[in-house]
Amino acid sequence: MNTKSILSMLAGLMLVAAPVAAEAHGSMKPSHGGIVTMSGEIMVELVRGPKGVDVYVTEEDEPIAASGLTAKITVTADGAKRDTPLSPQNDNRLTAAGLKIPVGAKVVVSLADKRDGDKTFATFTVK
Amino acid sequence: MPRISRFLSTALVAATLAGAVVPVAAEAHGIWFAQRARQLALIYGVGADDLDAVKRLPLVKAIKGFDADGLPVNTSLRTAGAIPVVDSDEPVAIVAAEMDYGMWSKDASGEWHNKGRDEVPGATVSEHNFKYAVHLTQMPTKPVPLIASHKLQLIPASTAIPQKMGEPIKVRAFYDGKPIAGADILADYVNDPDQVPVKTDANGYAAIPVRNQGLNVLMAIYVGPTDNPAKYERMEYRSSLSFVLPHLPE
Repeated sequence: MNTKSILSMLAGLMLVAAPVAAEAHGSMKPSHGGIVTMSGEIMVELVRGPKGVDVYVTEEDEPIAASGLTAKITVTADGAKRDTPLSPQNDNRLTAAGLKIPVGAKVVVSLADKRDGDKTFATFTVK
Repeated sequence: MPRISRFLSTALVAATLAGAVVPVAAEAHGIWFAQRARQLALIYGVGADDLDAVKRLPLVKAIKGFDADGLPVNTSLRTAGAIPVVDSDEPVAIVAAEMDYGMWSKDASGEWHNKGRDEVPGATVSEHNFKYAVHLTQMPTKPVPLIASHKLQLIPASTAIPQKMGEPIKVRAFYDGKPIAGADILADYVNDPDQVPVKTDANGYAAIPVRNQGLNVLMAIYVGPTDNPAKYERMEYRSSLSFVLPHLPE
């Protein structure tokens, strides 16, 4: 067995032993005290506050400009479903002013890219 | 070497016999759904052939979406460059498409024509092709519903879809809303389109291994009687069932 063979064998063993490479797609931690969910590489953070609901959108830690999105938030609670538009604010923040989300509600944030119409859905259950 | 020759001879005979018993696929293409650039695309093709689905959009007769509770969701197809992608108002748990691929007749020289046999003198084969696709975007929590307009449909026999490739999955084929015996079931239409199909039993069931820790495209094929003998001698239905098994966490 020559050096080349040994190296090939070691390389093969490394492939067997190594799990699928864990690629980093950015942080999955909330940055604004809300709850987060991933949709592919896009992270959506939902923040409930006294003045309404804010949504922050990032892709691999990079903020996605809210001005480039058409967005709405759908809240399903007690069997009733209600859509509210999300208004783009500074940077990657969208807002539904005055919106209250009750505990236990199912929430879907729908984002449509204004450039190509591509859609992203982020689903939350508010606890 | 003689052993290898004997092996090759046996393999050749087996392949020839397999070719003889497998019906000639007149129109081998099907439709299914697969993720492309984060969107869910409708694919037209067979194996690795991902053909022009956009130009065939006029043949798509319906696109339907359902949420996790089985309730309908407004769903359509949108052309995104070279591919049609699913557009919906809200997340879909199940998305379904149906395509009427029309009449096809094969002349004596072996050439196919998009016409009935009454317009192709000496036609050796003539059929009307229908293609269906059902995709599960998440593991079902209740039985996958039969879609009334899908003449042929393949569904998981239970909601417990195996989560690891290699494990067996039991599926059931329905034709006209009833279990159909003798339908061909392919376990992987994308990566092994020439596999010898499994036949459904008397109650429409078949058991196959889950092929991929990723996208699985199962295909049911059934050739039924004609409803217009003057135009075609048979009707061929291809109906995919696709779902994705998750990979390890990143």
